[in-house]
Amino acid sequence: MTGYLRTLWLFYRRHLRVQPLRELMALAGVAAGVALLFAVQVAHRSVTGSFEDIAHGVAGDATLELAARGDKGFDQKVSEDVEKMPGVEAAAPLLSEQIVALGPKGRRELTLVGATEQVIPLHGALSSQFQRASEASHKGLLLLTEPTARAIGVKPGEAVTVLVGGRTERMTLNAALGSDRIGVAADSPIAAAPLAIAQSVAQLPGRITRVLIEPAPGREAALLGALKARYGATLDPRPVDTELKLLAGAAGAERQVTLLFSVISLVAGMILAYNALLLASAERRRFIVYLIETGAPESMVLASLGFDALILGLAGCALGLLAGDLTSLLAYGGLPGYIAAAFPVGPQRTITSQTVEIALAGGMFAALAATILPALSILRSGAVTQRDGMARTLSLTAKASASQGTTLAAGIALVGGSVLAALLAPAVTIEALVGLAAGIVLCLPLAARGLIALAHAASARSGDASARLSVAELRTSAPRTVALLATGAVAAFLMVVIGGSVSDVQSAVRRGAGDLLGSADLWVKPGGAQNVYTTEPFAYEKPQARLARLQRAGVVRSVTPWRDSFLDLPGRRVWVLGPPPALKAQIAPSQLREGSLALADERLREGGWVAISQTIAEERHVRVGGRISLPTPSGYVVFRIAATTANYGWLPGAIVMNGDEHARLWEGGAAGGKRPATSGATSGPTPTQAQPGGEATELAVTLAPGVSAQRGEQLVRAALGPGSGLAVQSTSERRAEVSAVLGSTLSRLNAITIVVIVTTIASVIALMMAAVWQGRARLHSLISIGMGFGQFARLIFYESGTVLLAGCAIGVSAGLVGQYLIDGWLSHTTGSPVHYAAAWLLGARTLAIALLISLAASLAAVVRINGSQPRAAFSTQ
Amino acid sequence: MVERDDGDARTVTATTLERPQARALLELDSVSKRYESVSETIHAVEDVDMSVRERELVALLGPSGSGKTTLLLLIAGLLRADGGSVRFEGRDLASFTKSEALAYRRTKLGFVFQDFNLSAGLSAQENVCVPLLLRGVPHGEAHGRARASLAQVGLERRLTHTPDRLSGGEKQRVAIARALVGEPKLILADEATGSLDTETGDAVLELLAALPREHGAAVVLVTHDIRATRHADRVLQMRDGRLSELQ
Repeated sequence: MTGYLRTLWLFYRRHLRVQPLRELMALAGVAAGVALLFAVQVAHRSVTGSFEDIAHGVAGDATLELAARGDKGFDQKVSEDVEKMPGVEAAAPLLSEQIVALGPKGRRELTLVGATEQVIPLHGALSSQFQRASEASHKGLLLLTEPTARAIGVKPGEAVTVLVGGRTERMTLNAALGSDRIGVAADSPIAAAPLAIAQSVAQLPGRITRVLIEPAPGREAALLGALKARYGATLDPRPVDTELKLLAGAAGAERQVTLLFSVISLVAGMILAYNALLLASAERRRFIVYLIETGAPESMVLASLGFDALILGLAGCALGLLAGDLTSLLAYGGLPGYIAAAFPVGPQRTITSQTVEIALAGGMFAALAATILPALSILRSGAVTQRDGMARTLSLTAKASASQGTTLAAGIALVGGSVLAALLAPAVTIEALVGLAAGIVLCLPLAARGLIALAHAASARSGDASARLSVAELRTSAPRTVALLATGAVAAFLMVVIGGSVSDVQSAVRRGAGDLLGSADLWVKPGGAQNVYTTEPFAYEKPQARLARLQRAGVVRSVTPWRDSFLDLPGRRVWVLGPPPALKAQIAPSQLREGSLALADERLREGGWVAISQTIAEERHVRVGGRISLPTPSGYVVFRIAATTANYGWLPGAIVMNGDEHARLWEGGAAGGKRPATSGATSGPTPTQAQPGGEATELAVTLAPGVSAQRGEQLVRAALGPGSGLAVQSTSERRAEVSAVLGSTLSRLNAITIVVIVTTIASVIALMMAAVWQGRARLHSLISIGMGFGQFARLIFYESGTVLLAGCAIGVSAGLVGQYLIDGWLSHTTGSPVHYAAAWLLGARTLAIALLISLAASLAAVVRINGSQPRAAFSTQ
Repeated sequence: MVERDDGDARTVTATTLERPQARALLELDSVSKRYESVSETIHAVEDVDMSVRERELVALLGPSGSGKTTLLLLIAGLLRADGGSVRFEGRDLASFTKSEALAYRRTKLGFVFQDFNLSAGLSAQENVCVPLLLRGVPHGEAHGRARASLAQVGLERRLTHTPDRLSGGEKQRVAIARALVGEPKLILADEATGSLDTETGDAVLELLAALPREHGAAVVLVTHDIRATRHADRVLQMRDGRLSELQ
């Protein structure tokens, strides 16, 4: 067995010596596919992984929870009542509040969790450690994780400024907990304090937002039923992992996008590796002939091929995992901003064995396919009969063989079928795109024939000998021509598909943000970029009073409160927008899907009506004019549907309701939490005016005519004072923030295109160098008989440039089709109003890059050939 | 005159090799070429004196690694000598500019290679056209001359055939036609029969032997094939970088 393996290893070493560039290029192809697959998987898994760390760290043995629907929480006494319910083993109250911690070195947006010693019996690693640290110090102040404390530059005992609910509080850092005590959760954006302190900071005395419940063994289902009966009207009794499922739902669209691009990346890597091995098919044929002639059985030939695939796969996977790790650190670092706005997800990377296994399986599959497919074609073509090892010439006169015709027909059918399938059923777009790419690859051999025929016709009229010779070279090396064509096509396809669709999504986000924010000049809100959906409420009486002075001074024309929040529906956490009733355009025009905009705006202003995302309407099987019951903090309320919309950039969906109505139901819920939770469905709520002393999540400030946004921003900031804890942003700044956060998920995928470009450049240069090296005898003979440097450079450039540009043109065309399909799929999957704008500019840029690559490859090849003696043309005997 | 007995060969000076009755086309005077690597210095060509007259066929024999190919590259101006001079029609190749060196190869020399080095993507006629196209001869004229050249080697019926449809001997005849089409003064044939069977090789040798007579070109025939000596005006032998004339 060892001897057999040694023989296979000897064969492989021979390939390495004979075709080092080919092996390197194949390796690069597999590694690129694995790297991209690994990086996007890690990026996605990290989002849910970091949240799982926190969720399990806090909840411990608790399997149920009672959660508030609104940000005001509910009475702490509910926790005591729950504890006394039959079937409850342990219960612990929690209060969660969004804060911004400021230190001398910076700021961090965090979720402050307040708990009591009751969490300790639940054995949650995170909450227990926080609680014990808090008790040990007897100071009862703020606890941060070590990375957070380091980032903002504070040490235990030092002061931390905390921005919360539009106020500024000063707290003392009690302790900073490192990974030695709380594990990977140390990287989470979380802070802790004793419950009483947290309630004081949040100005929610006696209030909590969750009760963690550990049921007695075997009593979970009965207890959940009892909790629903008792609290279900105004609170959410649910399994403790519900939040995790909501996060998975929110990240679902991103997961699908990630999956799509992972698959495309892997296919691209496989094709690049395949191309590399296709290049050496003539040499490989000679080797197979040699093996057969020396009496090696077929099993040995197959074992040799399998061994090649194994080595290529292992080396490619190892290199790909390293590159993928680096890519995930550099290109995919940070968080998908839109998810961080609603869930306390951390920046830590989660690498599971499953992630590695998927990447390895993908890499091995790519290596196997890339190695075996060209070899099979060699075996089928009758290796033994072609002993001279000459590459087959693409004849212009010979007719396409039946098998070539069948392949072309299959390719065209695959392309057509894939496009049709994606158009008719956007849900199968992923599969359709793989089919589209495969179909194009199938069409390439005959496309190469057509291309060479065209080039031949064009060169026949040219007086340039290099042009004619380049066509001859293309015909001579059919596998290389197809390989170059495929490399260009795949690279351009990826770049246009990814770049184009990402650009379309970003445009949709920008358009939506423009619509949403165009009604005011300045925006005032608490928190930073993480509060992009403006769901953190603050008492707006004081800021409004301060801004009233500017109104009197003729700087500000109006100040109107907006009231937004998140609301958990079954399986999805939706964004509830509450524009002020005074605002004429209640619905952003770009977001409207069904219904009359004017009528819907009017109805929303009246109250009792909502506009809901199309995805929610489809899920609930309701239409415009129908009714929907929403679980507000004040109880279930039935609304009529004024219109259906897109998702306003929050992928799980959005609901637009009258801002005053929103304030009444949510703030009423704050009081309602104190009431016995017995309210059933309420129909047709009456709109109310925002009450003085109410809460807003954002203030829209319109400036008086003639006051610039910059001047207004300065005056508003000065009027609010340094301790307001509120950020003032111009509409353009706010729009940029929204675009950056909302567009961040897909824009990170642009990193894929960078990897593709790098791989393509490396592949094409390697291809050209390998091609020149293989054909050096003929090229040296041309130099010997009088080919000048310029003629030689043009020959190589025409040869690589023609094919690469043609491949890129095919790729760009297919990419534009792919972009159209992906746009439809994104629109269907994410609910975003994505409009197709053909990425012509990107396509042109791709062609320009191909041109530059050809020039670079030609130059490298020319330098290489000219740098050596033209001996190859002469005999070595 | 200095003579040294060296078995069946004699080391001779330039005076010995030159025949005063004909004008020297190519003259090599004490030419040396060495290759240096980290571990050793190889004297590929050492102190070689040689001349080739117009219309002369010189056979150059020698084992592998004896320096024959280096000598051809030096004659073709593709390598520069470390010592001595290579003169063609009295002009030292070392004095050539790059464009003059290119023009020298295009107009004065013709090459025939062992492996033919034909482009598989071109027809026989197109392959023969290549040297003319490289020097800017108009397309129509180049094709006409290529046709005539192929006729001279008996391939007028194979104009449109690509190399994969030609036999080994036919391929080499196309290569000879390509070498001839530029009407060179000197043809460098490198193991022209090395890839051919005996019968075909004989035919090719006869064709090459006829070139001085019928086309006025001198030929340096680098070969292993002892049969070539039958057609040669003179036979030189290279061994370990040194040149000697066989009796």
